[in-house]
Amino acid sequence: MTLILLIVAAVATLALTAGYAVSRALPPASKADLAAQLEPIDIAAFRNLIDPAEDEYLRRHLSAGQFRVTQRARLKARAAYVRVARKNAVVLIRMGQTALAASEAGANDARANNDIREAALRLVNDAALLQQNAGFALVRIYADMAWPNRSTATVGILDRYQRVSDSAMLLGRLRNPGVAVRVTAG
Amino acid sequence: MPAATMFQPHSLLWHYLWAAPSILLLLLAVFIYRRSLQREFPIFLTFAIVQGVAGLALYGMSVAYWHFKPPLISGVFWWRANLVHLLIEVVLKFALIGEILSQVLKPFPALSKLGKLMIRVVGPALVLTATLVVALSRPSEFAPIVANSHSLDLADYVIECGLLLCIFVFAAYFHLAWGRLALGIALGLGVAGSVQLGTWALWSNLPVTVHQRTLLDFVNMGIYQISVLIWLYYALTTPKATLMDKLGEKDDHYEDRGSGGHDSRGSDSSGPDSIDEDERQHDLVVWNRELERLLKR
Repeated sequence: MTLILLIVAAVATLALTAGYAVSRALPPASKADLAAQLEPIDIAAFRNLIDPAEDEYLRRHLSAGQFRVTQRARLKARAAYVRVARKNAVVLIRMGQTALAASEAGANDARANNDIREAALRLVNDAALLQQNAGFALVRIYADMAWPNRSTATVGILDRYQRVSDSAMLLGRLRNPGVAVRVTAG
Repeated sequence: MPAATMFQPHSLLWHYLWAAPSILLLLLAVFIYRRSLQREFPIFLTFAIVQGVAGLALYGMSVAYWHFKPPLISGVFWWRANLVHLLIEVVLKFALIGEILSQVLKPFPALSKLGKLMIRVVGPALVLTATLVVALSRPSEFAPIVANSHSLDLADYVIECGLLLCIFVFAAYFHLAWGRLALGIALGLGVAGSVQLGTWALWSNLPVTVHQRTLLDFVNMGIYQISVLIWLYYALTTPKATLMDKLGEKDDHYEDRGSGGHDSRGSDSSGPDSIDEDERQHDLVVWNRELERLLKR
């Protein structure tokens, strides 16, 4: 059994390593192709879906059974929005990477290259953060789907997190006022 | 010369596969230094020098043992030297994997925290797994010092492959672009590590004959030679560090300290492309804020 697991691990490492090298050798998608893959999302509708006041209103005005059904439907809609956001983030990362590669190849003059590089790095970082947040948000939404009536026992922890985040943002601003800190929600 | 004779210990091929990678590694160290790549990969330079020198020293000791009557050194001395080399190699390899990860995450500060967290979680789990794998392998018929070397080799490759797998999966999930040399180093480590994990797994779990052991040795030496050639190829095809790179790095440092470096975040780049980029950037910030709000609820 140990032997089989070790051989599987060895083959997986070799396949992934080779696959990565091959994928790097393939030509990147064009900017137009990538832009066509972006799906516009209605942020106002999403904001409404995650509004705790809406949840509370539904909880008060619906029976427990009706609330569970409605809440599951709302959670499904939330998950759909987040999945699209995550997909868009992946596309934006690839767009940023393409721009980075172009700036490193020296496609424009030095100043323009520098500007493109800065903008691309910012885009890739924000998109990567979005992808990471979307992943965590999906886990949270699936957990909520299993138990739509769950209590808000995590609020205390989240409040603490909010305080820590505020402190981190304050410290970040004091140390480097020019750089936007996105630790906490606005 | 018949192939069967070539795949014997102390054949010409055996001498070549043992000595050549060490010489190539020293050559690699020279190329890294001449192309100023050691600024970004200091551990890789150290690794190349230490592995090259240690490999040649072990080869020399082996020759001193097998080709002189009476032998100039004892077998136990060679195995002790090999064990010390293995310990140094393990430390250097893990430092090298850390260097690869930090190079991959360097342009993406938003992900560095998550990447470090992943290593903190996966690292100890892999050490435990490696211990378990060694404990479950067949009892060795060799002297304790030889058996210890084999166990260390097996544990080393379990952890190495596990860490590399994690980094590859992490980078693939977030579509991170690798620097050319970082990819080359990971590729070399991954190819050699995976094949050697397979051969050590066979060696430690099956009753292999002397001839089969010799063949597995040849596979290990051959794949090591290939990985050194991969490193050489990537080191030679990575653009040389230029003076502008060095000046660019200094600018980054100034920005980090907030002590006078220019910050082009507010630069007025014009044109439809930059407007598109700005809109997408704004969308990302809004989306991140909404998702963080959702996570904190």
